[in-house]
Amino acid sequence: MTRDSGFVPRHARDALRLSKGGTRDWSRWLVAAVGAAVILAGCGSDNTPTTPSNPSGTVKENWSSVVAPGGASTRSFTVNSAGNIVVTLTAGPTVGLGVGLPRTSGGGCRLGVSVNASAATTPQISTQADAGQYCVQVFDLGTLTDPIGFALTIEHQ
Amino acid sequence: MRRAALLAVLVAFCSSCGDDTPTSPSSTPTNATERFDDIINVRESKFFPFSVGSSGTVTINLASLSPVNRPGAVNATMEIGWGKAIKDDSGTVIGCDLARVTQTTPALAAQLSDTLAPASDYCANIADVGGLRESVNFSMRISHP
Repeated sequence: MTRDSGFVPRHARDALRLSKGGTRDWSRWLVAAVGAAVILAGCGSDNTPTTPSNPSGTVKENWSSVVAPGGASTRSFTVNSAGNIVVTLTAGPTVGLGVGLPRTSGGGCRLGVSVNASAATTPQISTQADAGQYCVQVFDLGTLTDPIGFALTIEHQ
Repeated sequence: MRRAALLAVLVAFCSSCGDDTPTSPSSTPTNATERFDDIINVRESKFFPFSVGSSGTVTINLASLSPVNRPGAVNATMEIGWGKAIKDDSGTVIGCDLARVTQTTPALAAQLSDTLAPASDYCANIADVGGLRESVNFSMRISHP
């Protein structure tokens, strides 16, 4: 039989002291880590990924279609903020080319700017515009005998 | 020492959360944009009544003049303006008492901008001052509070 005398060897007491001290250290660091995690969680809105934006804010649209003799082809687009509307007829015959406001009913385009344009790499129309709805129109100047294709680009804010 | 270090770390974390600073609420009123599309004949004028709900800036844009019977644009000088709506006893708008006018050719940006006060019934006006050679379609945009 053995008897509990209450005697604890010195090396065992040292081990026990170290163990208790280590537990207190770990608990402190655990509290600190949890606190930091909670605080960092509140900082998340700064890191929300955003959609990459075009630094200049310019939108470029390509449009190709057909214009018939005596006819007109119209495409509408939206200008989000005031800036330039730049239109370049890149392919097709010599036609009327204009920019204006879409008709409120019945389709079509009420032109504010109009030029006679031949296909080129430099813009035929560049005009300042407020934000709003617009349209570009290609129309026959009375020279077409058959439907013919064209292509153009529209750059705007 | 450890507590001080921990406190310093917490302060540093908190200081990085400053982007949520509240901003002053904007009081800029939202404008409504109305279209005034019609045909105007040589030496004629036409007006368009609109109501302003609160004081603010009105902009008027003569955006288009175009031939009635063919595609294209007409680059004629017209007079556009705004004024107070004139009403008869029944409240029907019968005229436009012009307060400001300007002469302009069509463009896609506003040619006239003014502050309107007080809230009331106003009107936008367009008139041929000798630039037209034929009847034309016109399109105006009126942006107002």
